[in-house]
Amino acid sequence: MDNYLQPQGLTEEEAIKRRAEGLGNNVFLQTSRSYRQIINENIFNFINIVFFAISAVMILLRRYSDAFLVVVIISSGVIIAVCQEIWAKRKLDEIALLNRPHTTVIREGNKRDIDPTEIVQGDIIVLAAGDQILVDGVVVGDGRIDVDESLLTGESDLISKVAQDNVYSGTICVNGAACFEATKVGTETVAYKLMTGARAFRHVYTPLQQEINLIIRILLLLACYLWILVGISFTSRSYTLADIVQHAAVVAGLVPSGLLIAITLAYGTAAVRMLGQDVLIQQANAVESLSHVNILCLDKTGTLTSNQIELQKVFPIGISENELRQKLGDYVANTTAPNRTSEAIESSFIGNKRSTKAEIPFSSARKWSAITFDDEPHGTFILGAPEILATVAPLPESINNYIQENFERGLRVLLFAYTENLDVINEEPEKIALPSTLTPLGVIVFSDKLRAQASETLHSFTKAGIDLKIISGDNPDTVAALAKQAGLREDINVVSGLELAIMDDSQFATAAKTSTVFGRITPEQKARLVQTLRLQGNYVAMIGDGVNDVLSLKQASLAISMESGSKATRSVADIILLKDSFAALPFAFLEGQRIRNGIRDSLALFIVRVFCVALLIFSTGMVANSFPLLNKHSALLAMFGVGLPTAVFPIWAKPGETTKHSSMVRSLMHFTIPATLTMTLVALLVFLLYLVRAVLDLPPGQNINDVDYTLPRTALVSILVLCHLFLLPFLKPPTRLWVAAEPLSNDWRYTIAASILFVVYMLVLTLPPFRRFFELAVLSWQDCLFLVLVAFEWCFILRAVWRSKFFNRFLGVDLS
Amino acid sequence: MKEESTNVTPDYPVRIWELLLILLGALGLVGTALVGVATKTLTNVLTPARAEAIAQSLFDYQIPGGAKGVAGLNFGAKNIAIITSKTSPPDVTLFVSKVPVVQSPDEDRVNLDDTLQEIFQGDFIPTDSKIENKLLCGKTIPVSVQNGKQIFDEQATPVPAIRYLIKITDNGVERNVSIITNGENAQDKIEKVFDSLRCRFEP
Repeated sequence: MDNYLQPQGLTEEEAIKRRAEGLGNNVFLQTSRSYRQIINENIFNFINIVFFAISAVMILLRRYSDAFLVVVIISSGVIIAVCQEIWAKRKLDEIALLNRPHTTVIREGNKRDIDPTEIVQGDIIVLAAGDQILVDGVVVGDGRIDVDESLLTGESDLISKVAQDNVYSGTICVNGAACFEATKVGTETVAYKLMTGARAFRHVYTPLQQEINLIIRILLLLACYLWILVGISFTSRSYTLADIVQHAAVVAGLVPSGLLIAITLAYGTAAVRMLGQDVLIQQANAVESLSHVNILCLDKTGTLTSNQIELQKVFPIGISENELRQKLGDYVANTTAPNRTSEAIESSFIGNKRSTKAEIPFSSARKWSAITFDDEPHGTFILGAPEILATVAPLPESINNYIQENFERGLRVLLFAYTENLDVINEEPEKIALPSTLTPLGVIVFSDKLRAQASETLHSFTKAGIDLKIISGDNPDTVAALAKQAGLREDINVVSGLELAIMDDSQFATAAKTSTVFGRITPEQKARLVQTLRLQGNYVAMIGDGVNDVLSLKQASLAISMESGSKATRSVADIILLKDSFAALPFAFLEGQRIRNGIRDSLALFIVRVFCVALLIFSTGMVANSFPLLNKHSALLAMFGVGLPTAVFPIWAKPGETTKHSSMVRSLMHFTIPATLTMTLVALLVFLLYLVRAVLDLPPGQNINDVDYTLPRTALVSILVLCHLFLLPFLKPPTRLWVAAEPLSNDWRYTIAASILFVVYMLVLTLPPFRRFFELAVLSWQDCLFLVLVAFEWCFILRAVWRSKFFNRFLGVDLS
Repeated sequence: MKEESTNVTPDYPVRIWELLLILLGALGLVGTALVGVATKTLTNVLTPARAEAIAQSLFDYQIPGGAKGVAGLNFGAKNIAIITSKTSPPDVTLFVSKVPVVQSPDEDRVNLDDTLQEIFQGDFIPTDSKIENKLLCGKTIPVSVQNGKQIFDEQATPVPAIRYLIKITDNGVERNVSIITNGENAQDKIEKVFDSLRCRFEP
């Protein structure tokens, strides 16, 4: 079976010399975001550039403390995020390095597994089904492979490659086995950018990411509009340049760029947390993505089952059992494309090396393989699915019943058949077809055990409302039997690939929607099923292990692979289950829910703050002809009202579905609309009250244009901070008293955090250095008490508004 | 896969007593705020030094026997001050104000001025009135010269008094001056006070 391994390959000395000459495959294997990406995306995004520009102008205006605040306070969140992400990246890189696929080369006539970076030009590389081709080269020797070049060309048809044919990096060997000589390595390869894996092509944003991006863009537009107004006010009003820059900075604070940081942080911490569960995250958003899944497609072999195929029994037809064993032994001993099935036969039957005239490797699409021996006893032997071979090898009723019984017991059954004709096999991929007649020789029965905890895992997904679809190349009855053994309900709909093949689009879509078990499915059908389910509006996860799953994995919203799966499968996967830890998936699902809930809580506070400040800008402009906050006040509000609380949300968040809407913003409207409007009104009244006081205190000879806004702004920022802090127990009610918009959480941590932040804010308000830095006025204890009482009153008003569903009634829609 | 939190927010009805408490709380806070503003306003108005400072921000003046501030209001663009002599009851009362014309319709302004003057200058009942052109701040302006009686409170006997009423409107701002003197030499005193007036603006 090693007849394709003719080349001797390079010697180790030659390999070292070539590497020294710069002919090594020294391409950085990117397993996560690069440092440059992390820094660019966290620091040099649009809104941060705006902040930096504002701080530069402030330095020019000699407002150094403002510039300091922008650079240090606002950037500190970014720096923390960058540090955490780099820490997470290092952890992930470490584990990815341990788990990344190796490549097999021939050096000095021996096969060696090496790291892809150790490949040098001229190396002879061994390819087997499921391997990803990592460098460009030319096929050498007698091997034959079918290559999926879709990642390069977009064409899904397999391309057959024999000696002298070129192979390219980024493509996948789907069938067969062969060797190729590396002719281009490193950055010289046609698609060296694909070296990091085919997953580089998959960048699917989760619905949450899409929504957050939309929110940020909308708020950016709002900020642009306000910047234009601020610019106009410079010419139409008596504002100084310093005032204008202050106003521009406050408007910049409306863009919740911190949300992106919160998401990135949540993804990073989740990825590291998942490592402890033997789940390797290859796509940053994969864990969160998992929580959106409503349909989970599983391959049977290797996913639901352990892929430890064992030969159970053989049933000879027209020959003795010994003869059948010998022929099967010869067959698997001479195949150049071994797989789990042939290995299971080989472990039971010993065969001889023979002279092969032609071979067709097994393919999931054809469901059979063939070898023609031209020595005695000569003939063409075919091993494949009984339903496929039975069309040209009629079986007696008793044999059909025997096969069916085994299918229904969840066993895997193959038919072994024969024809004397030596010329029936055409190795050209497009001309491959079964001979017109075959003589059945025997039935081979295999068993494949369900994975440990498969039943519990599937049950937990069903309980979470996720529809399961088991899609397999095996017989539908075998798959259905195993599905039932795994705990799926008895009344599952079963459909076969043969039935799907004759359905029109509408019937296909209906079958995809209503059926649970899909058997005898080709890789193309598997991919089409996943695609159809996605087009029906579903968020589809696909778990696979074999190269036949690659197409469907690429179509899925979320691709999950087993560690034991093929290298190609692992390369396209968003999540790799290390140690094939299928049972870790529910944990990952809960982790995804946790991330979403944490982001949801953060988003609620961001929305309230942003719209409250935006409304106040318009309101104070109309009512008091002034601007409500200074840049430092805005930063103070962002820090106490949103920044610090949301820093702990991703850590404290719990799993569980809290929203019935697909849109997170929509699911928060019942919370944010009443909170924003009432808070704005209360804050505006407080601002006006203190503005009247400031006007009353105007020194003689000064008019209203000379009013010192420090006191009203201090009162305004204080009431806003207090109200935001009081929102925390409403968001996570520790007792029934706070239950109005959100369900009871019994979690006191948020309330305690709010209390601590309240004390810290009071210290900022009281301690002169902080007060001076943040340009706050002195508030008497009566003022502080008054503001706290106003915030309490607002709490009761808001609770009554929420509980009475006032806005639902007024708007005539259910906001909850 | 344990669901760790319920997604159901129970419906809690809002009771009438709860709404009443909220209303009472809101009224209490609004009341407190209004009382606070009123107290602040009164404190400011009745601070003598502040009243004198407001008056001096409008005009320089001399009151025979010395001056003391009685009331002053500086609310936005509106400035009002009342200054009296140190005698009791005062024999000289000076009222000065500055209000933007566009923001203060005549009726409101007259009412506020009259009210403040009545409170702090006493009730003046004119018996005759004439217009005289006098020089103020380098310009000749019409002055309403009124003879009459000044009543400080209902029990007290009215005393003869003279009042000068001056109104200067310029650049959308109206400045009013009212000088009342009583007792002996009332005419001399009012002339002295009028002559001592120096504008803190370009008339």
